[in-house]
Amino acid sequence: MKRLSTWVIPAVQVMIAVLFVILVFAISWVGETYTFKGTSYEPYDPYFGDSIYLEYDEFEGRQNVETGTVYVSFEQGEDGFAVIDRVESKPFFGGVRANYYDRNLYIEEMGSYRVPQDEVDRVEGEKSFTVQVDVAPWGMLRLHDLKPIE
Amino acid sequence: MSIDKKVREWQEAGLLDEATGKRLVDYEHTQRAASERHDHKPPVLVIVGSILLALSLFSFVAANWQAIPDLLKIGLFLIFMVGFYVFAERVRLKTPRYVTLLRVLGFVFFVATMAVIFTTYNLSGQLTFLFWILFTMAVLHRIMYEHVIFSIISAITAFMAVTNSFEGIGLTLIGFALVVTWVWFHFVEESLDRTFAWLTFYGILNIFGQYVDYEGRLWPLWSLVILHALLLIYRKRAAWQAAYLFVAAVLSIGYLVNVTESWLSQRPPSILEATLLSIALVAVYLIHRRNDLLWVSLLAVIPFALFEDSGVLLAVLIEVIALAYLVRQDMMRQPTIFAFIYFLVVQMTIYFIYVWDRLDISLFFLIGALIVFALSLGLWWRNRTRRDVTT
Repeated sequence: MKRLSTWVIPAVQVMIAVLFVILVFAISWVGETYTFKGTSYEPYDPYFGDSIYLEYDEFEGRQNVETGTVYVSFEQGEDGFAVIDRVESKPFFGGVRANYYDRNLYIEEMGSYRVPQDEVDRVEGEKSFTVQVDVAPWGMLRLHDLKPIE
Repeated sequence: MSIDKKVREWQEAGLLDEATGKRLVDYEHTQRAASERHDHKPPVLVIVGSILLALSLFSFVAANWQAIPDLLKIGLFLIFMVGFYVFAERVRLKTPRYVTLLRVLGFVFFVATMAVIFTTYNLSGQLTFLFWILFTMAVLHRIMYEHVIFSIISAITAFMAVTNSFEGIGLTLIGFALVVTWVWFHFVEESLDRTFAWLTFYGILNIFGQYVDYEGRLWPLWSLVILHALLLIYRKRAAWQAAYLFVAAVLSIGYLVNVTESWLSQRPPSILEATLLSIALVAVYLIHRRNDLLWVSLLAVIPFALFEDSGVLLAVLIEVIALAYLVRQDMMRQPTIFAFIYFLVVQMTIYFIYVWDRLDISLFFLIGALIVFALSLGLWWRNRTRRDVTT
């Protein structure tokens, strides 16, 4: 029994790490996919790193919440792009954590997109994009398929 | 073999008989064989070579870090983490002094693994959750491996978790944090751990006040009242209970500063709340009847003193309490050091609030020095007369 109990901690820690990785993959399995329009300050240049910083028009504008940490959920708008469904100060099921200040919403995970090697040619030199965002009910999200708007 | 030659020489000289000589030779041979097996040291070149190999492996991995698939990166860190725990078990009997170090390294690699997962998948939204998980694992280390270093690690992770939780924490996570802290408090009976766990409880209660958007300034006092519930269950007199006094002292200074800062939006508390809080503070003393914790109940003066917003009333009350505490500790022949420090801090605070702008700085130090001098003279005089009486 004593011998077995010493392995509880490493086993639990491996399980926690694996659980988080599974949760990340599960975002795409069970989450809703939304399409966002995003722009970056300047055209993407792979020389300055593999990430591109994005801003979203949808996140601009006054929301009926206090500034600070807020939670948002989305729905699909009529033009096919995502619109904000609900913004609240308290966490709720399906809400993504965001920051609200200066009449702007900021979702940290959506602020930058890591460009994979095979997408570099397509994205280089472009400024405005569409990006697919998978949102899981437990509030994690994942960006994929960044495409320049022609 | 020199031993064979020697034995033969002794036999020829008639010093040893044949049987003893043979036994000697056999014994020496087995000894030598055993020691050769034992002292099997790798040659220096092999050591240098393996260090160089490890270094080159590290630099190779570091140089290609971006190109390594995400899952492989995480796997590498996990292997290192498990490796340290396995290594700790391997050396547990042979060289026990390294065991704790290896386990700490294992925990460090767990933190590193989670950091890699969070940065590669950009999970910044779950950061609060991660801090509470790290705290949980640290507490688990403390309970399973029973080493004081894990108390310190638990305290550090608890501090980080609490300070990162004031914004954006849900009820589930608050409940989870409370359960883990209680496990720490209940199952580790050392006063050091209980003090840290108590402070974590206090932090979580304050986070809860933030969560329910509690209006008003009195929530920290309510948290302290609520924590007296622990005294009902854990009745045994112990060193961790000094945490009540410590937090009460910090709160009294905090409110004294707060009440005089006119630039903060100050709303006097409701009469009803102030009354309830004062009654609650006195009631907890009447329930536990601990004379050493009587001083916590004197915080009951704060809610009403807040109605007078120049803060003079509160300053006078705290000054009187600090002096009374010092005198009382001295009369009961308890250690006066903490009472003395508290008294000094109260003096400093009052000076900084009321006298700083109006007084020349040298005069400020002169008056402070005079007060300290007078006090220490008084204490010394007391001790001297007391010793005269006893001898």
